Amino acid sequence: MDREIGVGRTSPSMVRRSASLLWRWGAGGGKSSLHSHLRWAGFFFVLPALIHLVIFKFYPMLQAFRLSFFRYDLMSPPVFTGLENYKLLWENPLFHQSFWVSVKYMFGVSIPEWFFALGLALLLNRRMPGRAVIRLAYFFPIAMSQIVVAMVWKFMYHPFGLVNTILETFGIGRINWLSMEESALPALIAIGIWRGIPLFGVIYLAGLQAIPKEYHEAAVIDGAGVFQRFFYVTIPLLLPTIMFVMVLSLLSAVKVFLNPLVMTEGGPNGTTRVLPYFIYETGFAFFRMGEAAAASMVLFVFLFGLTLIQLRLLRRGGVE
Amino acid sequence: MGEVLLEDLTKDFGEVVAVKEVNLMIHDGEFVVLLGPSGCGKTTTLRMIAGLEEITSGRILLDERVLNDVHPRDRDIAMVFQNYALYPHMSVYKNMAFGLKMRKVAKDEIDRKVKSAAGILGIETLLGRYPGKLSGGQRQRVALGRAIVRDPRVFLFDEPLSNLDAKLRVQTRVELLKLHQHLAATSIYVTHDQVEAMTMGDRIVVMHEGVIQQVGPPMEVYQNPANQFVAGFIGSPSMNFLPATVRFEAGRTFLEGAGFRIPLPAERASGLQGREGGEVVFGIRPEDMRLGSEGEIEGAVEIIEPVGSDIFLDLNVGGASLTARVESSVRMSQGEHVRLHADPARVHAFDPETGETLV
Repeated sequence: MDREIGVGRTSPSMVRRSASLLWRWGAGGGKSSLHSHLRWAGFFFVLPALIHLVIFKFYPMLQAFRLSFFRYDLMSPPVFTGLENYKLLWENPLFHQSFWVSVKYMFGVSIPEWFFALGLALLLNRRMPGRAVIRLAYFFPIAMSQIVVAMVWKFMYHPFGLVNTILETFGIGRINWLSMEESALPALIAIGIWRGIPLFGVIYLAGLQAIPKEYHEAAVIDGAGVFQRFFYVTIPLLLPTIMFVMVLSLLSAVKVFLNPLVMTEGGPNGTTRVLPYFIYETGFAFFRMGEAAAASMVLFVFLFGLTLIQLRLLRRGGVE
Repeated sequence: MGEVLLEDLTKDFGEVVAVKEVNLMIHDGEFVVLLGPSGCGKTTTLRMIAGLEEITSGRILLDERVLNDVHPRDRDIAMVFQNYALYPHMSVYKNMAFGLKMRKVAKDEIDRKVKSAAGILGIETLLGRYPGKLSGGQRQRVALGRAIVRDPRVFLFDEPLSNLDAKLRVQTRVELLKLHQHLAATSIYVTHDQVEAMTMGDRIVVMHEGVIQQVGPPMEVYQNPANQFVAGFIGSPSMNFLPATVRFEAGRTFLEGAGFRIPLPAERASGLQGREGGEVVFGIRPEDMRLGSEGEIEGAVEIIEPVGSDIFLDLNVGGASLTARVESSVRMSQGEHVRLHADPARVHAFDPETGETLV
């Protein structure tokens, strides 16, 4: 009987058996051929991802870490210089400027994203006609290639582009968005927000839909109004999602590179030279690979620290 | 006070009519059970009373006040949900206090009420815990506590015992009844479990396809079902139904079919007037038959199910299946031919077309 069921669909006993096999394998107790077979099968399933991770992630990271202690210009052999690169960075005003540009960009993009994306998700979570079409439309910005987005926005920000044409109809003069120190970074931030909202909106939406409607109904009967339900029911139950969105949005914002490269080349006057662009420029324009690697390490430590803080908050904010 | 009146209450979801012209008066302090299979409209009716579902037509009145356009918050009604709906991020205390807090009740008053309700339910020690750390039974009590602290005029229960295991369900059923006696508040209880309905309700409202089939005290509904649906839905094992023909012979009325010929007492046969030779559905409950060599029903034993206190016999009567309850001392073997005597006072007959009760 068991066997019969096992062929067509997964029976509870089959799940139990598999779980016990896996457990014993994990505990190192497996001796039979089935156990060793399982062990190898599992290993081979993970292998491609493992190879990718080692070759394309861990190895370059380790190499960058090593390189950060060398002077290297891609022509002559690397020379060990100890902490010289870190000292150079510390003394380099451009690095400081880049760091703060990155911080500004990161929070400038992320914070509005958290709120707008939540607003969008709340809107899309309501019953309304054509909801599926609207959801799809909002998701389009993510589906577009990043380089295409950068090019299109570059044209839109052009003194004779769409943005200025629209502003002109409101009586606001033409602005050379990407060439002015005051407006270049905000212009890039606006694109970042525009592109991030749908992605994080969809994540929020999934979080909202995972909240059983009974909680809201119980709150309605308990006498909670719309705002009270939002603050006492929706927000606490959405907290894990909110934390996830916060981590993800900050990390993705700080890694921005293509938009400054295509649209401003870090200018004007370094006001859009975010850290990844600084690293690229130092390494591949000035051929100071060691210094670029050291800057990468600083960025890595910064992101790592930020993630740790947020994961801690996430654990604390987690629902009991 | 807590007198609820449903007047021509109707709810449709587009083409589907979930509740159809329900009329029902629920008296103050009464425990009324809405009973029926899934999709019969019982939960929709309850949700309309709670204000969670809009009313398509008809009226709901609580103590003569029309509730149709009253916000759920202002209806003075508390509800216990099937899955309890306890806020997972709030302690038991906060869960119970939430409704009062939203109504801006003073803190010390909230404290007094929560502790008093916790005392009634025996959950004082759980107040600091979170719902995730509670057992099913404990959650159930907290959900009740959340309703009690509000001191509402009407309690609504949406299958509150269905998530508990069988033993706990019986235990909680008794406790709920005690609680009802203690609080004496109007309670409307939805369930698909007829045992729950029979044991708990002052009155049972049997619903089917959005329509009330019968309203009455449990034993009345059990003994005098209004139609074949009610007869079949209430009782476990359910009533036996066998196709039969009406015969009048020598001034007596008989229900005749393959393997049985039941004489009906004259005072019970009036519903069959003018149906001579007509088809009806003969109905008899398993416990309304007894073994006897003179019995009017003859069948072969197919399955013997001893349940401890009794034995259920599954018989083949003229090709149809019939369940009879016999004493546990009876010894039977499979394939044996037996005769059963049907209690004439407990014999039912239904119209095969409409299901309406004839006898």
